[in-house]
Order: sequence, then C-alpha cells, then structure tokens
Amino acid sequence: MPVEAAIVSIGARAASALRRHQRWTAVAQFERSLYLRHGDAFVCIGDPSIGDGPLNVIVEEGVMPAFAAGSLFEQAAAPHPNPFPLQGERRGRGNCATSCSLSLLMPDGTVLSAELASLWQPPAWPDAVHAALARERISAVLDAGRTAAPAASFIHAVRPETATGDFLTRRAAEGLRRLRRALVPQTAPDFTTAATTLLGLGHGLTPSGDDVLSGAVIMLHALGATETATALAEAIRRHMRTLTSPLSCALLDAACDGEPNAAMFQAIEALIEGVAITDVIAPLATIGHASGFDILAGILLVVEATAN
Amino acid sequence: MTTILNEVRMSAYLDSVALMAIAQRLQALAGVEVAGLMIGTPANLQILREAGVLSSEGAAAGPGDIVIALRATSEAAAQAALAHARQLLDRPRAAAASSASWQPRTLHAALAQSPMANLALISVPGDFAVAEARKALHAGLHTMIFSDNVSIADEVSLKREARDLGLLVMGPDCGTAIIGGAPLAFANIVPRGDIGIIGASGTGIQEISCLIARAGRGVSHAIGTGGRDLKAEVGGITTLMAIDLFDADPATTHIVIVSKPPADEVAALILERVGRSPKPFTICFLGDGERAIPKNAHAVPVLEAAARSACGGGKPWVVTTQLPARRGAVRGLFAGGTLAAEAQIVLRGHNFAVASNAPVPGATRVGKVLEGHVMIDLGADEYTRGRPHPMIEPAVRDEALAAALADRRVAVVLLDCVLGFGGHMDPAGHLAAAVTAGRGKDGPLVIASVTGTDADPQNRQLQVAKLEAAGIVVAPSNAAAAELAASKVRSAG
Repeated sequence: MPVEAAIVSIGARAASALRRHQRWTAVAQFERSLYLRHGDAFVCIGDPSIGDGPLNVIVEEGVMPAFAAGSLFEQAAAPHPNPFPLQGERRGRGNCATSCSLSLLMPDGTVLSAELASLWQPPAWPDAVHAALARERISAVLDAGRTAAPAASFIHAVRPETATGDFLTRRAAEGLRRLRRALVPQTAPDFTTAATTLLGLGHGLTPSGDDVLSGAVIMLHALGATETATALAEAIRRHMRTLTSPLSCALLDAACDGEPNAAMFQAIEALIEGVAITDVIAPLATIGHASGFDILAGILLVVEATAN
Repeated sequence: MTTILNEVRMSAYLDSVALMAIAQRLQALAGVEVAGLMIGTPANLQILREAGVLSSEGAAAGPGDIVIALRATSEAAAQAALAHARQLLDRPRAAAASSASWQPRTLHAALAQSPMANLALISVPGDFAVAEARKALHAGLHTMIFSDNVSIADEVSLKREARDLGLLVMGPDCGTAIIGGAPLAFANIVPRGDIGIIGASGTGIQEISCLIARAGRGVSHAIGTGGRDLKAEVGGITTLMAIDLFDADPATTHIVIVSKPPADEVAALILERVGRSPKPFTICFLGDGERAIPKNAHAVPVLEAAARSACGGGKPWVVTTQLPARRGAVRGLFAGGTLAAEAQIVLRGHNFAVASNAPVPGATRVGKVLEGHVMIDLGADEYTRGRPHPMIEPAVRDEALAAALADRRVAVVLLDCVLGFGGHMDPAGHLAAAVTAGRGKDGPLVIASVTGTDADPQNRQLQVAKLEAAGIVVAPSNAAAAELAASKVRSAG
C-alpha cells in the first residue's frame, strides 16, 4: 500500500498540465519548492509558504518532497480528456473546493493526491475605477520598493537618473525606458522593442526583465486595459521562446493571460484599493530574491503611464 | 596574460542568490578580474560580451543553460577559479542527490524525525517568527529566535508564555548562542569549560567566548537573550531564567552577563538575583554608569575585561608597536555592533569626543559629515537594508573603508574581523585586499582585531596572517585595538 500525501491546493494551469502529461522530470530543487518539467510545461510543487499560483501545487506541511534533478514522476491516475472537472463560475473565486482523481507518483513511491485539494484560480480584480488612488502613490510605493529591494533588482533602474552603472544596469534602464515609452497611450505602441530588450535580461531563474514584463502585463489586465495588455502579450509571446528560459516562458505565458500568482494579486489589489503601502510591498517581497521587486517595477511603469 | 574562460552548464537551474553568491566568491579569488554566472539568454550573453568576458564557448549557450564566465590575469588563475566554480555549483546538486528522500520542512516534521530535540532555532521573516516560536513552545521546545522585526509586545508575550512552561526564549534578534558545545547561528568553536555566558549581544558573546578560549579556558553554555531582554518592558525574563539554569548546572562555576546598559528597575532585579546565587559573576553592562554590585559579582567596563575576569584576572592585553603616532582622527568601521560600542567606551575612557551611528552613553550621534573620532556600526539597519550583513558579506564595508583610507583627516582606521559559523569564509582576505588597494603611501595606520579561534572554519591564525601581510596591525582583542588607536593618536597630541 503506497504512502499517500495530500495536495492542499493546485493552480488551474498546473492541474491542467498534470492531467495532460503522464511523465514529469524533476529539474530544480529549492528549499521550499521543486520544479517538474514535461516539454514546455512546468509545475512547481511547494510547501504552503510559497503561496498559490497558476503553476503551483501546494502540498501539506511536512511532506514537501526533495529529489535530485532527473528524478521521474508519474501521473498515477489515467489521463483525462477534460483538463479539470470543475463546476460553476471559474473567475472571481480564489480557491474553489473540488474533487479530482489527479495524483502523482513520486520516485520514492509516495503518492501525492489531489483528492481533497482545492483548485486555485486568481480572484477577480477590484474595480479599476479606483486606479487613481494608485497613481497618487507611485513615488511613495517606488521609494518603499527600492528601500526593501536587493541591489540586483531592476526597480533601482526605474528612474532615468539611475541609468548609470554597469552594463546590466544600463541595459535594464534602457529596457524600462522603452517599455515606458510604449505604454504611453498611442495608436501603434511599439512593444516589440521593449519586449526584446527586456526578455531574458538579468539574473535569476526568471530573469529580471521577464519579471518586469510580467508585472506590466498583469497590471494592464488588472486595470482593464485589455487592448494594451493583448498588444504587450503578443510581443512577449512572439519572442519569448528564443529570448528567455523555458521555465520563464511558462510563467510569462500565464502572465500574458492575465493570471498572477496570489502574492502579485494581493499586492496589486492593495495598490489599487489604496490600502497601506506595506501591504503592497510585503507580498511581493515573498517572491524570489529580487523577482517581486522587478514585478513591482513593471506594475509601477503601467500606473505611471496610465497617469500621464 | 589575460585569459577568458567560459563553461556552459546545459539545462541547469539555480536561483539568482546562489549564482550571484558564487560569482562574488570567484571574484574574490586571486587573479580573477571579472566573474559572472548567468543564464545564457541572448540578452545576458550580450551583457557578458560587453563586459569582455564571453568566449566562443559561452556564446553557444542557450536560454536554459548557465554560463560561467571568467576573466583572469593568467590561464592558471582562470582554471583555478573554474575548478572552484564547478565545486560550488555541484555542491547543491550533490546534496540534493544524496537526500533523494524526504527532508523536514516544518517544525512538526522535524520533530517527528528528531523526537529527542529540545531546542528550535527559528529563522523566518519577523512576521512569521512569533507563530513559529509559539508552535515550538507548545511542542515543549526551548526556542532561539534569530529573526528580527518582532514587536516588543510579542516578545513580552512569548517570554511570559515560555516562562510559564519552564522554557527559554532566546531572542528575538538573537544572533549567537553556544548550547552544550554546539555553536548556533553566528558563533565560534570554543572548548567546553566551566564559564557560562548570558548575553544580550551577539558579537559580545563571540568576543568574550573567543578570548576565554585563547586564555585556555572553556564555555559551558552561552545563552543569548535578544537585545531587548533588559529593557523595562521585557523585565529581563530570559536573563533571570538563564541565571536559574546556570545556578543549577554543576558544570558552570562562573557566570558572565553582557549587555547594553539595562533599565534601572531591571538592573535592580538582575543584580538582586545575582546576589542570591552561590556562584561568582562578572557583569559587563557596556557603557553603564556606577551601580551597587553584589559581593559575588565583579563589574567590568568592556568585553576583554569580562573575559579576563571570568578567567580569574590577569593584565589587559597591550600591543606594542614601533609605528609612529599620528595626528588626526580615529575612524572605526565595525561589522559587530557591540565591538563598535566597546571601541567607543575605550576612546571615551581616554576623554576622546566620539560620535557614532549607535552611540553609547557619553558619545554623540554622528552627523551626515564624518568628522572627528567616529565609530560606525555597519551592521546597523541603515547599512544593511536590502544588503547582507557585513559579517556575511565584507564588501558592504568597502565603500566606507575606501573613503576612510583616502581621508587625510583620518590618522587611524580601526576594524574588526569576526570569524565563526554563519560569517564570510575569508573576511581577512577581503579586508587585506581592500586596504592594499585603498591605502596610499601616507595613508592612515590600520589596526584590526580578529574575533575567532583557530578551530573556526576560517582559522584565526591564517586570518591574522593575511591582515598582517597587508600591513595591518592586528591587536589581540577589540579593546586592545581601540586602546592602541587611542595611544597612537593621543601621543601625537
């Protein structure tokens, strides 16, 4: 009788991907998470501290698996033609109770079961008419972000006056300038130049430039600027496969569809609804080393451009 | 001859912190001019190309690969750095491979694996530390809370709860402890012995325990209390409980208490409790005024004196050097906050007007312009926000050190170099390189002390040798270093 461990919640994209593909390979083990890959698809198994996200599979406390790269995982249940059986409205719910036959056989024989898991999808955005509140606070939020951010974050290159420094900092500032220019309301924005400058630029498993673009495209969705979001998403999707890492592509793909993770959602919600600046910064600080602050750079560029 | 050497790791995944940390380590190696580790996206390859560190091998990397890019002064230096990079990159992989089984990720799971454990060390963001500490207490564990950013109200509540359960809460913001010979967090390898230490100060415990070790004695336990334990709100709960524990411990024959000056009502409580103990005490309230001390206790002004007192007395360590005295100011740049405080006390003892970002009583708060005798605690929040602590990353001190070395008003630069677990693996090597690069022909005298032991991973003797090779005068203790600085400046008038 195999040992069974419970999946607590599962992102909709992760659930869909796990059901589509039978075999998965561990590619990266971190302290709180384990990334599995099948072709272009990635899922992230993590303990509750990593929070919900489109690609995240959250397991119960104490059962976070640790396996070397190359270890094989198998979908224990039969593949299902319907990605994830779910009743009712998908949007506007956050975690939804569901029952699912999905389970994953780990290399040590333990079965991760989603039978009692809740399906996570990003909740609906707050009413964008309150965006004015956010615009008034750009400088204060930027200052707070820059104070809390590690030196490697692109948020330090957001203002034109910081466009000095090493090659990477200067290129980052150039990419941010191009994105800012493209975000200004206009008939034919050039998102391609901005996207090709930022994609794959910088440190990290998801390079900082990718995080900036994720923040920007998600924020456009949050503000209801669907047309601009679609234009930026098209530019990102057109070039990401050649310009950045496969894992980052998977996360960018979700962002392009307007799907943030829970921490990004909380931060943007706090920004739009005008609650304390610490409530904007704190969730982002939990994302990677500098990623949350790179995301904030993209978010603030959108708010700034919309304000102008 | 300059050599560019690249290696590509195919389909490798490492987070940015790991890659940047490895790059920094490589950069510090002899002969390495530039070291970069990045994923091989076209944008990053262009950055490496512009930095003049990309070879044809590196240029062939794909977006899912990691590029190790090195430029060194010789082929041998480049190869040595590459070998070191491989070792560092393979370490986490080897660790993951060897633990192809479940690892505890929560307190509950760790306890299931180690049911005999009786202490939990908590190092999580401050917002979560209280909840984790409470879980540990309810599981019957003493707790050491390394995390900071815990409110004083939460600290009081946790400590009272723990006291009711008969458990210690060390912290929050407790950076150092030695329990049953095991160094916890930032601590050194010192011999087991009969001296117990209770400390509200991390580097204070480190300096005293290392000086005790160098005097040939040992430590039974060093219990950190957290920096606020002797404030009026907390009331010295952990300190009082630690005294109870040492009183009951037959292996402890002498107890040292080290802290910033306590609140008067707490000092009265602590000293009353000390007076009821059958054991002798050394009390070091750094920068404190006159107090009535119980007969079984001896009050000392600085850490070095505390170590000597605990070891049964002896004369202060004095450094004699033939170097001429200088006219000018003393600029102290410290990684250890308590070491910065001790230096201020020593200089104040010579009637020097001292300023600091963390002033002791009698010193003034430093202004924006550094003038006169200035002791800077580089581990203070204003220097570490968004950056590692200087004990972890000595480069945090570089800018201030370069400025001090170039400042003609500065006669003596005073430095500390703190070894042990948790700290940088070669702080002296880094300091030596920075001093060599930044000190001109008529530059200031540089005096340092090294807090550590030869058993530490960095080996104190080797670290001292590196500093001395760079022309830095190494004093046997931080207090002795400050004394020497004072004597060199004072005798110049």
